Amino acid sequence: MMPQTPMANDKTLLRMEDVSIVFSSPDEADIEAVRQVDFTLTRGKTLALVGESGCGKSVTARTILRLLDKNARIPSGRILFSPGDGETTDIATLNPDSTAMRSIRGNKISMIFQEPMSSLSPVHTIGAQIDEMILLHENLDKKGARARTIELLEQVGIPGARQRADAYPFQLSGGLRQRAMIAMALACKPDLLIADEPTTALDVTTQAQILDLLRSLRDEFGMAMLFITHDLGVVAEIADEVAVMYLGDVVEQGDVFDVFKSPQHPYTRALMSSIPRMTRRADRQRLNPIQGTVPSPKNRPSGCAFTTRCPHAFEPCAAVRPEPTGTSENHWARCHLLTDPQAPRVDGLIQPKVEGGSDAYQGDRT
Amino acid sequence: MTALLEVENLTKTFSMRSGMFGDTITLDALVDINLKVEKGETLAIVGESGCGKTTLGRCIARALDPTSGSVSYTPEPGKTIELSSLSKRELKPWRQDIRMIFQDPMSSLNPYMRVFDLVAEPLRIHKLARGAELEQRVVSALDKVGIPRDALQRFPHAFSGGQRQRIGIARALVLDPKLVIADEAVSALDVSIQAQILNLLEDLKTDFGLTYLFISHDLGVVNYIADRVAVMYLGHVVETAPTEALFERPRHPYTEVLLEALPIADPTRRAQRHEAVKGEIPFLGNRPKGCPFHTRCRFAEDKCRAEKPELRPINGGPTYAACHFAETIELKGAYDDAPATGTYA
Amino acid sequence: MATTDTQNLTKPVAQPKTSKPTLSGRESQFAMTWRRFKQHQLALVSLWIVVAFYLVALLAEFFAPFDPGDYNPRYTYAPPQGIEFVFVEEDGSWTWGPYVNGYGTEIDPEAMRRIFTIDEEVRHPLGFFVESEPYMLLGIIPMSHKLFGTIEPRAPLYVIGADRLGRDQLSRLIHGTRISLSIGLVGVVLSLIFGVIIGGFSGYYGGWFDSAVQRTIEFIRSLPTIPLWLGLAAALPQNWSALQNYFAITVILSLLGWTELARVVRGRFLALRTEDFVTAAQLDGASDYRVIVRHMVPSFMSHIIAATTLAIPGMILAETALSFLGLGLQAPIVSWGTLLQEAQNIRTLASAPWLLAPGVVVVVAILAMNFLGDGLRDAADPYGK
Repeated sequence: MMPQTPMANDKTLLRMEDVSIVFSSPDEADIEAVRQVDFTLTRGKTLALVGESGCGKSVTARTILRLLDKNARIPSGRILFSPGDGETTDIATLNPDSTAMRSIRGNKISMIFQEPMSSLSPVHTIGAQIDEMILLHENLDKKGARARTIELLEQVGIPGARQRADAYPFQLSGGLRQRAMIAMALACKPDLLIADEPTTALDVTTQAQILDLLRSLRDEFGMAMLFITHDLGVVAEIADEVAVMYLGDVVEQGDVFDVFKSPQHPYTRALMSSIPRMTRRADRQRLNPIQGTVPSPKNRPSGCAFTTRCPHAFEPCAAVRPEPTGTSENHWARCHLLTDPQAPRVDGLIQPKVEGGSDAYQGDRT
Repeated sequence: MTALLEVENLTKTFSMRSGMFGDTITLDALVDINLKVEKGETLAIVGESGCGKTTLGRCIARALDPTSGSVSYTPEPGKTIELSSLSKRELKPWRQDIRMIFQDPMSSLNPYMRVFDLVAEPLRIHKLARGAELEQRVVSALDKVGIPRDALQRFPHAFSGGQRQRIGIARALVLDPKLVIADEAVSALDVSIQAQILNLLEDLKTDFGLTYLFISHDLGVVNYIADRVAVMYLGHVVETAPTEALFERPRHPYTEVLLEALPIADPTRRAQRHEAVKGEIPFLGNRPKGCPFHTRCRFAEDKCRAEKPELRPINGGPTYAACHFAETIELKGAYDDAPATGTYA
Repeated sequence: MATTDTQNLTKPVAQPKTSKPTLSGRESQFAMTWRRFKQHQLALVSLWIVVAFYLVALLAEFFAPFDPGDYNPRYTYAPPQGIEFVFVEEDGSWTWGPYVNGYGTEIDPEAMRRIFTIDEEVRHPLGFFVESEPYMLLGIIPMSHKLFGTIEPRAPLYVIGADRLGRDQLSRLIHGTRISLSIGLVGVVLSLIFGVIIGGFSGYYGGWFDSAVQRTIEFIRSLPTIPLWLGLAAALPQNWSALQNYFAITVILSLLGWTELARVVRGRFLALRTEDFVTAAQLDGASDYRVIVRHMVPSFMSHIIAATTLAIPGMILAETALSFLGLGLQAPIVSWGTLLQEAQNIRTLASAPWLLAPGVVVVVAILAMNFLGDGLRDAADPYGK
């Protein structure tokens, strides 16, 4: 019962199909940092990848740009990228250093990072850096490039863009630097913008500004956005769709309203009950955190990754990996509770009827 | 009721010299701060980076020496010690009572000391216990924070962020403090771990009658844990109020801005949002005249640009705000009156 | 995404073989350092080389077949003898045992110069622990045996040749090792004391003292070293004994050498002073002394060890350079530098290239110490990578 997100539609920009990412090191066994991730990015929409540190969300994003270290490989899966020229490229098969990949990177797919200083050169003015991007990918002369740069800086809300173009990154505040980086990422009108924790290092008011900006730019440019964050509040602000990751697995995915309204995976539910709610004293409830800590990927159960900390874990969980189970049109979760008629009953989950189901769970893909 | 801690007219000025022969720039990190911390309450200090909340915490703990003003500590009625005037030696006994928890659990634990020594160090410094008693007190402190005995001989890097933070809390607790200053104590942690630590802090408060000065930028956490809140902006306290009052109806426009900007984990509330506040926090050395917030305030008038508002009680109530128009302006709170949408409300 | 971040307390990882739960066991940190050091092959080899060097230096009298001053005018510039192990008799039978051949001499009629030839007929068997003139090991233990030598007394033994007075180059090299290495060590200890104290104060307290110290260091480091050495060495009184000279040179070298260590120490203090764990210790009520000794020093021990190890070769090179120029140690003291002084003349060098042997030794020793220093730095810092 693989849920059918509306696909094969011409707005689909990128499809991750069953992508796994493995890191090898000389001393230790290989580590599967990401297990069979599936998702679709659509033009004009934002998918948020959310999870705690070490869940593989950044690795997934970097894989799309093939920015991983040499010891990482993609043993299975396809990353189908269709920028609309009728062609579909499987990014997973490209050589990270090839011309084809370089023409995608920074041109059709751009990325912004948590710390702008890491992607801006400290010895060039921001204007010069954006000019460079434009000259590299577009057929413009220097003057034209500068005009475009200033236009971009204005578009991302940098006051006094003409003068600020001649500023060095260290002369700008954190918020302005982040805006400059966004301008640089947008220099070539990318089809996809990957934002890796772009607001985590910022103050709340600046964060709100940047989120507003990203939202309006996404609409203006009609691009798809992959937004990586650990903050469920930010997800609720910006995402259309959300994918919750835990220890390399996407455990739940779906429309942001559905997922927040009725989370179906115990991990998502636990995550949501870990954040303090904005309530009055009288309605205040004690937080209900997940017990224990995230195990090392080496010790991940072969079944559901969350088994060791799941309050509802039962017999098949440790050994058998649950299949994605649709619970509503645009919403699925990987959890045995949703398929196994023998599973313990949990309030709020859409579970099979006890009499109904025939076979308990559907095969083991690992 | 007497306040456990009272901060009066506290000012902290940093001077920086640019280069060897350059001019000296002075930065007023804290301007004339007045605060009271009542025994047994949790007072949260909130604000964005550079607002002075960390400096305030460190001046109270005397990790920094205040430039002027006083910090007085009243451990029992009728016995008040003015901490800010004590010498390092005179201060030492009071360091047992006022303890600090740091933000970064990685850098606040000495990487070359084992857990046992880390927690035993304060006891050794104050010569409070030795031998078997020392061991027993260390173990019991670790026990309170949920660190098992077999961790004693390990180095901090063998622990996850949440566990390291627990060890940091044990270091604070081992001296049986009265006041704990928690400086962004949960900010560096993942949400699920953050929730564990928040629960732990709450339990410890109840069990040991602690008073917290909880420094944080996260208003969601503050709403959850604090009894009273002080909002800081550019080295000033702009509003103090009981938590519920502050979140229900803020009296300073900056408080509203902070509440507005707070991302709430509920997509249905997106639509209710104003546009984010314009502009950036000014540089400390370039503090605006008059009200420090007037450059970004949507209510700013000429009076705000000319005259600095004092922190004063609003409508005689427990709320204090430093705004000329605190009584009249209509500000939006953070609580949502619509019924909670999530199953996990 | 640190892997350490994901370890689970409820299931403790295997403890690194802590035998009993003693509460103040410090050994295992040493064990940890040693384990990491052993993984560094080059450093491990270097360690043994350095240990061998210092052993030779320590027991120089025992290792050297002769006294460095023993000369024999019959054998000036005698070339190295090869050590043979098997002797084949004319009848085909052979005997086992190390020996050296004697020298024969011819006069080169053109150059009117004596040329040494190896005389295959004359054999001087070698042995271990042979008897010798009585001497004092380390100046205190009376001994009358050498590690090796010719079994018959007073036979010529020039394994790596002889110098212009017919002195055994190997013996001189071994004795020179003692002087050169000890200058390095003593000089570094002196610099370490200056460097740690001055750098520590400078970094911990900062302020005007720090500025003054930094300017002084910059001044010292901006002086061109060779002329400075020249000046200082020239200022030494002529009538000082060789031993006084030796100490004076050591002090001169360390007066200039402390700056590097002081910088390292100051830099670490500055970096550590703002660390939360140092603030935490201060808030615990710890005295400055305790904060420094217990909380700060352990975390830059590795840097000090590395900087120290890396400073020794510099000292040795400085001494060598100074002595080579004739301004450092003076004969009769034998050091690598004074030995190399013998190799200054290109014509001598052409006819007696073995005089360059000290140069080879210097290179090997310096490289080994540098590798050792690198290895120690990496190993002593558990958070290095």
